[in-house]
Amino acid sequence: MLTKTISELKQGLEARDFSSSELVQSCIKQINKFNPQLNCFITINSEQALTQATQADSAISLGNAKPLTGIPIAHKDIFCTNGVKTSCGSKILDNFIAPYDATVVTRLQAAGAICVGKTNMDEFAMGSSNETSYYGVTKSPWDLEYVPGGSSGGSAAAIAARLVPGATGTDTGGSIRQPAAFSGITGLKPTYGRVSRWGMIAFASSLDQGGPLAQTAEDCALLLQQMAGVDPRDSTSVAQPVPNYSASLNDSINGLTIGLPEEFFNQQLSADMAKHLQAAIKIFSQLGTKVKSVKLPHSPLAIPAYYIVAPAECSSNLARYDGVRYGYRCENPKDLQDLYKRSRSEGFGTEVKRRIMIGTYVLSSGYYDSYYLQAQKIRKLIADDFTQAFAEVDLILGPTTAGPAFKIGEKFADPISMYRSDTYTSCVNLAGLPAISVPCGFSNALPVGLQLIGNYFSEAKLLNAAHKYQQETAWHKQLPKLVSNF
Amino acid sequence: MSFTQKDVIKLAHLARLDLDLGAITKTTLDSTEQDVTKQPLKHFAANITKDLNNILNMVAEISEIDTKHVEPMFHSSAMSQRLRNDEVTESNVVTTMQQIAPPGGAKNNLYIVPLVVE
Repeated sequence: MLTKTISELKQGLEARDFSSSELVQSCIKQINKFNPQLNCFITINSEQALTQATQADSAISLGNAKPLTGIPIAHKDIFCTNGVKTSCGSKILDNFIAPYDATVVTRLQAAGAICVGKTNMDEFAMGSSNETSYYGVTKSPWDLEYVPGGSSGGSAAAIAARLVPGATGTDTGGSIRQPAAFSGITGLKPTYGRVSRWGMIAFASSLDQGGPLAQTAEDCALLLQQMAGVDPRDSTSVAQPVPNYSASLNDSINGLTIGLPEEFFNQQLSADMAKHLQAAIKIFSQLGTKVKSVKLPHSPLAIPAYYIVAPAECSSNLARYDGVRYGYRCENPKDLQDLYKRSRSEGFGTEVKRRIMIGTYVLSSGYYDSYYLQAQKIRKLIADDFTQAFAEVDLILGPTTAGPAFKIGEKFADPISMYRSDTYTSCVNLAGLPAISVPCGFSNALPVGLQLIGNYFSEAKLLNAAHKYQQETAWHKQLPKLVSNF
Repeated sequence: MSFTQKDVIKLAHLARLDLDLGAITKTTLDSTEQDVTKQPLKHFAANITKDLNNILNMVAEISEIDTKHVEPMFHSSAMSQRLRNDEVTESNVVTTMQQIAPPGGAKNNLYIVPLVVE
């Protein structure tokens, strides 16, 4: 039951092959069994989930099922969930019980989905390995010595281990796509503004975007359908109609043109990754698409620009954690400065502090123009490159990462090496475009993913192309050994 | 530009951070296992100047690009602030918010902090 996709589970529930109560019970049993090893979940929501499952069964039997009624999902612990701990992977919010639901949570719940728990993540979404969490590292179900990717590593690992069929994540520089690639699952970062950020704890407000992770593009379509749409409470959400993503999944992609950026197919790619990408390009050609080389000449500047813009925005966003109104407060502060400094210093981890300090610097008087302003101009150049490319092609294809996951601890002591993990993903966030990562092979027995990037609000086309690819391949159906003995 | 230790101390103060303190990772891993992701705080404080300089060096390449005629892009969507009707739509949440204050940190709809003015 737990290896089924959301789409298959929906059919099973409808056909009464099993009940939502049975499904959620199995889910929770598996989570309790594997979580001590994998550390995917920070909070497990058993009681509430089982109550909701009973209600779901009742709704199904009365013919009142909604699109996701009875389906267990997990939320990255960056989304506020009313009455449930929401830690953002940080000690500074270890005691924070969210007083409201994020819009994403409300919408998925209204569609009938059942939240079984909150997943582990890099602290405040700052990381590419799930190693910076206050709650300890999440381990890859494929090999416990390896990272699942980050910052949505808990969600990705939970799906890879088939503990849940779907989960939410957030992507600021690659944090849905990269863990999806490292964990052998599918993850989509929507266009900036497609999904409401209300109740999604802010890291970098002009880059953050919530999105779905699941086994397949088909499942991501089901989740995104409920997550997407303008929200009066998020003034950066865009009033663009939400199409029926599932309806166009099986459309032919014959005649679509796929762009291959010269800058993405370079020496940095591992030999295996290059081989798998070529195999994928062949499959897309067999499906009737044309391929064409495109240029994204400023994309190599994405990492430096991103690591100015994101820390700058985070230094501003994280100023709210001052120990006054919520979150961690130090003991016996002697004055206000001491309250602020000790609460923040005792509450934040090292990577968060590093980024806050860089952000503080690049926004400071005398340096703002040469760093922050310049980075935002580079951002415009990167976005313009994509606009030019999309005048010639429908989608862009490339690697999600240069190679497979790395070992736990391998890059942790070298921030720059970790930052470079975002090489192929961060340019997409800077431009605000949508992109999806799907499994495309294995390297050293670990999954790797390819990335499809689309024009603004082209999620339907991305999901369509990804689905057609997944109909021709079986990479997304592979199970880690840990799980294949179910 | 290259940071000195003095610069880093000033930066930490501006960010309201004390470099010698930090959250030790609360590990849920097997206690016999070495958690390689725990970075001793002394190591962090000792290396922060070097780390920040490495990051500065990495991002410095953007300064080589001529952007004289480029408009900055602060946002990917060309939107202006949506306005709404001037109607009260939110309820009073003071009590709810006071309940999530740090222990001893809230009373009578106020937040309790150390004395600011003698």
